Amino acid sequence: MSRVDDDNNIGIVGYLLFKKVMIDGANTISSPLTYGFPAITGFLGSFHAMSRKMADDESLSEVSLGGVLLACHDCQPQMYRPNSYNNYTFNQTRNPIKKDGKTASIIEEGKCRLVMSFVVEVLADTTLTTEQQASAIQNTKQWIQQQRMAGGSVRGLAIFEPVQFFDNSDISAVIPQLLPAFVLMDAQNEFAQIINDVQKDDPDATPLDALIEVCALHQIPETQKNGDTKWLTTSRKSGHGWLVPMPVGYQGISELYDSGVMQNVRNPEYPSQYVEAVYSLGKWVYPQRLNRIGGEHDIANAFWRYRYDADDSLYLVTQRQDF
Amino acid sequence: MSKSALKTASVLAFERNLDVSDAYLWQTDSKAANKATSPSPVVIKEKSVRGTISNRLKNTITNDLAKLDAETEKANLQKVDSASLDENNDTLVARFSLKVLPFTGKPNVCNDQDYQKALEQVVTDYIDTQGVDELARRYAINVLNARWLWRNRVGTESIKITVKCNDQTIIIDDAKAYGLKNFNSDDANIRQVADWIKAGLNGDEFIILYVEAQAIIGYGQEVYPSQELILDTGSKKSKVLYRVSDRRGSEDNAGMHSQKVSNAIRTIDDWYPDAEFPIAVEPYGAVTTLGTAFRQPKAKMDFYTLFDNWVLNGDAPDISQQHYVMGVLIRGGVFGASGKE
Repeated sequence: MSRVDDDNNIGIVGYLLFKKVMIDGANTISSPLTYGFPAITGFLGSFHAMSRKMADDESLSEVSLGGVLLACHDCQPQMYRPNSYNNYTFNQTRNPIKKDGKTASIIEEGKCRLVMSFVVEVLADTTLTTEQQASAIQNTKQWIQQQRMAGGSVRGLAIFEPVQFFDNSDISAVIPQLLPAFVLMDAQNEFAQIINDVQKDDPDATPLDALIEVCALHQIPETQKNGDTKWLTTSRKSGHGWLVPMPVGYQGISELYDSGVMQNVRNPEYPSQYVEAVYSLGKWVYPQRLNRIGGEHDIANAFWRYRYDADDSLYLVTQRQDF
Repeated sequence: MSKSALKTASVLAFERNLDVSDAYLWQTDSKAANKATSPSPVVIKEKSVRGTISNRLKNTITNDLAKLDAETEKANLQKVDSASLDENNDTLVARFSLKVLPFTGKPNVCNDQDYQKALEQVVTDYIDTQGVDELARRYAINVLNARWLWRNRVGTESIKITVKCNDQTIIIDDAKAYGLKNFNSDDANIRQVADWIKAGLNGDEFIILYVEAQAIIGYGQEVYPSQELILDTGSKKSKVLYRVSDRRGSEDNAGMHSQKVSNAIRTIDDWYPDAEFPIAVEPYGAVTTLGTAFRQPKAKMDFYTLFDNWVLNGDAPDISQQHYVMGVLIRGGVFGASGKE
């Protein structure tokens, strides 16, 4: 969806902003190890579907959608704990009783309510006409409400100007529209640094240990001058910003089978492969910190795109552009 | 491929076409001098009560009189959630939105193209010959008769329903005039709402209905939100009610689960064998509160029997059962045939 081919002139001609999209019942379990904010692939998939709807539309058939910027205003996982310090459990739903009148087994799920803003790259070979812009706004506003996002359904958008089009040169005008929210950024550099720090203390530590370290709090006693002991709480991630562990794609763990070989897959018409989740760190960044041109804090670097690496069987979502 | 070679796809799922939101419960006063006072949320409060032992006791205890006395004289302390109107409010305001998505019979996922083609043909034929009029009419009645208020509907003095779609508004002053037992009611309001739902299902336009009920239930009366299903409550609280929002200032706003509201909206199936009252459209006609499934597979009237005969063998059931099968597809669900069988 987001691959910009070199042999034609398709490029980013503008951006679509979807403002304050309220999503109910999104899947809050983002991977086998993490929960909270849904997986990035849940949103990219939804915009990919939208891009395919554009291909069927008369006035937008030359237009497609590229990378997606994720800005989260609010995320409420639906869970419960009897009192603080207890574990949380997800609130479950009961399924309809079985044909013999007995209770059906519970299928465990985790849901959350979200308020999100999205900025999506609009790809085309020529700049959009005013009619095309109007049509894109009109259509995508309807489509986003008709399709699911991260497993949840879209309950509504902002009341005023819910979908806006920005010219390619005008990207910084998006920033004030995203406030107040946090933008999800890749924190590969921070992760590399933390792995480094952890391995300094323990040379045998793996990156997974480092990932778990990010979630751990260390209580360290410190004897004060008067002999009292003071307990300090420290964390590996302090000083790096708001870091969160998250999945960033899939690693193939088998060979790539030809289409039709694997049984009972969703799409037998495509080749398929067994995969497992790949983890990394993400960082929530306030949009106003993303207005520096160039460098790490450029808003142009905040867009998530698909990337497939056939040599290492990696199916990734990434913000890097330099592959 | 010949028709007999067709078999059900192993991965087959439908998205719901009536996408219902959670219902938010608010309150207001019908007698307020200033009608402009805005409603406030119904708040869930925690109550600690000293109950009595009133459960049926085990035989070993009932046979021993001394033990029985000791047991029944004990206090039964419990902590529960409850929700009620404030003492100066007599009206429960419940709101939800109902999004109607285009129904084309195209599955959300299906891993067998031949099967999908046959299935879409069946749905297209149904829409061409029957249309979704009957289904839309029944859904509309269930929106307007306030069935979706469930227990909150019982014992109300009156219920006013407001349905908004685009710029149009429909107001029903006495929702209880529409019965719950049958779908014989018919008037201009029902037809209007049915037309909206029909337009949404046919994909003619994008339809989202904003539904509001104002039920006069009396000052300070209890309201009944959904109860949460929590697998591990600890021993702290025996009942946790649904808080629909965690937003600051209205964290404890009571609500009803979308599942509960949509179950009421699709309570349109009075086509099951020996039907006496409508039940929700479910593959086996299951009604949880009665612990009964009204469409037993042995009666050959369950969804899978009807659906497979229709799609695989081209054997269309009665028109009423056709409505039912389409109702299940509109409800959505996972209907694939396991490869293990």
